[in-house]
Amino acid sequence: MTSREAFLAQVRYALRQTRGKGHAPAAEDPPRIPNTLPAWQLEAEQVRRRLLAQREDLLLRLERMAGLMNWKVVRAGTPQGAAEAVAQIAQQVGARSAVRTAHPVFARAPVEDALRSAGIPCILLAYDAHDPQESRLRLRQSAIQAHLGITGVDYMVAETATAILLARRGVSRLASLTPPRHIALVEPEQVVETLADALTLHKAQFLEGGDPGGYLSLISAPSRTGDIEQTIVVGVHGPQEVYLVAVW
Amino acid sequence: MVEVLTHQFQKSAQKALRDAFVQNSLRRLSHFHEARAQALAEIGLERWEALRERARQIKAHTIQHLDHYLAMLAEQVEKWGGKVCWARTAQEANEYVLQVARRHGVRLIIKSKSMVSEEMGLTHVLEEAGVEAVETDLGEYIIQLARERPFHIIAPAIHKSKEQVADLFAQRLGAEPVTDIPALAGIARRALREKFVQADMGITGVNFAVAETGTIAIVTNEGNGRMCTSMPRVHIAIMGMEKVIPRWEDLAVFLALLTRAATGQRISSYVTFVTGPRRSDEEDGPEEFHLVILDNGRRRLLEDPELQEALYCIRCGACLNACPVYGKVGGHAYGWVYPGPIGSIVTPMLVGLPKAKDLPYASSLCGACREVCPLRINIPHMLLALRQRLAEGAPQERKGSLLEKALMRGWLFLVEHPWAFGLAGRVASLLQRPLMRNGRIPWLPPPFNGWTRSRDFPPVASRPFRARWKTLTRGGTHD
Ligand code: SF4
Repeated sequence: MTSREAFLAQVRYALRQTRGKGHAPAAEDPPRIPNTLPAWQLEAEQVRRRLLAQREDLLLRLERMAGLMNWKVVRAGTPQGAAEAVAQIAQQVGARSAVRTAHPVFARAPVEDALRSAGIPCILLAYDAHDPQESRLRLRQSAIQAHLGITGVDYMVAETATAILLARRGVSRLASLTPPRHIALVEPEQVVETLADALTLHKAQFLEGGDPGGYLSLISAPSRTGDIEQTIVVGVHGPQEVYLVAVW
Repeated sequence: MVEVLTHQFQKSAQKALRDAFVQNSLRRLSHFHEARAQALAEIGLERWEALRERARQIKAHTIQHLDHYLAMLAEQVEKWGGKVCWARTAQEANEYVLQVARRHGVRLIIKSKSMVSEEMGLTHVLEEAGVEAVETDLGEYIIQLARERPFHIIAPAIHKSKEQVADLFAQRLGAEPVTDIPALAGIARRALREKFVQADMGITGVNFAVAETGTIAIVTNEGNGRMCTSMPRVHIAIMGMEKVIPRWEDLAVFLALLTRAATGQRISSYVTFVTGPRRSDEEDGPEEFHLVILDNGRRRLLEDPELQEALYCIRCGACLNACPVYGKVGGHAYGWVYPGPIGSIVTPMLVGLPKAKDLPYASSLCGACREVCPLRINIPHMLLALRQRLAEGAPQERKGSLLEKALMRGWLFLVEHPWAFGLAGRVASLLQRPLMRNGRIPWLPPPFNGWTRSRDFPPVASRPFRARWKTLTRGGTHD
């Protein structure tokens, strides 16, 4: 293995043959928002204001685009309605087991109760702090075997119907990946117009808190492949069906 | 490094030209092309052009200060608990991966699609060392079972029929012989699911690496990239050193371009942003994260003012889909990992120009690659520069005749001077009339007959592309 210094010295040497000289850029080029917390907080504030002003329109755009991207969209009206919608989907697809994350939306939408009344057990993918290793293994097994994965989202991009989920304590990477069906509950405040909006809001946050987050999943459609004769097949490694339950 | 067969271009090209199924699948590429046009119409040409401009600016800036941004990237990766390997050669990178695998007693590795690991011949090296490494992208999996190499950057198995895939699965996996495509995908899903669960290590490529946060972005449709970064204990990501971009917000620019140019998708089913290993209180994810930053000859592009912009490439494959030569000879003829117009520049610089003499000539210089390239990389100009070097260079590199040298000078002049290009096009359109048969040119007079011996020469369009483009952009939708 080459040392960092030797590697970079060689890059610098190569650059010296062309016009560029390497090293730190003298000027901010190309222009951008300065990398300070106040600048990004201001930017995020502007984004939020714009989103608020066009919310109704955004929600409609999202529903339309989600349909085009092969989400199955269910408009639930209220959090209670969302929980019932989840149970209904579970019954329709004949799911016998479900896992969910600890997204805040579940404090409002009693998904577990609704599923229990339908006779479907739902496991929360959050490890036991007393026995992290053992319980992590068990939960991983549950996630792999579950018929249904239910999550909230942190942002939802209207332009491309992209759900953005930050993995963290209580939000497993697997809940939206290993089960053959994924249901995402989306609330109006999470809807943004473009990916750039989501990145701006998130940046304002991590410039403040420090951590950009270890793992962000952007999910825009069912798992798909066109690798055999360019014929689209869904559900090759991830979910074959994705549901967007709109809490509005 | 993976075996180099670039010197066999003519032979392999002939073979592809005679293969009916390959010709058929190549025709199917036009589907990508149409999807791309649709995607551009949807976001509006004005916005598309602005994105291209921005992306090009960012890349030009980053490459000019590559040392600075690579150092920043590494610092951030380490800050979040990741480890960085600086690899000047493929061999160094391979050794590092092997070392990490040994340290963890790894027996099974799951890999998601990565051109760079293809370039390193990594799977082969691991297998020699007794570590099983399974490709998990369906196309790559098929290619691995068939012991071939990818045919297309983003559609590696596009040259295989479903019957061939069925045979392969029956032979290698003992699967039932079915030729229903969803059933075939199902077989792969089950076989690979087992591997995902058992694997100790995941290896992925990197589409973009953000210097300011140490984040890598991985773009997939199948979800195998997510599996490789969620299930095993260790994750190693491998990137060519040109993949770095400065800022978090730059991701929006490049992601907007990549899949639209590649397959016409608004965005791929999945994009994953990984910053270091899992946080200690996270539910799951790898305990170790390694980032391998690979040079492997890229510095030869970096130090070359004429060819440097080849490093802007985001491997979308649009230039392959647009190229009339690729559209005929397919990916294997190019003899190495990177096919098509961009491959004809990158390959000679990475494996050595003398070994890849034919590649800079595997182009009609029609300019379609540059038109579709999201980074507007001037591929025709670079191909000409390489031809010039071959024509004038050291004796073992010499290929062109005196006539060819003169012609090339002319071409260079035309490509650089739009007014002359337009004029020459109109003259050519008149001159070719006596040669046209059913809208194709089946025969060219010597010394050009080397070209038409195995294919028709595409006639010069009666209305030049530049004129058509102007009408197109004027009439473009901006919603
Ligand atoms: S050269 Fe341009 S069009 Fe070709 S693969 Fe690279 S980015 Fe895409």
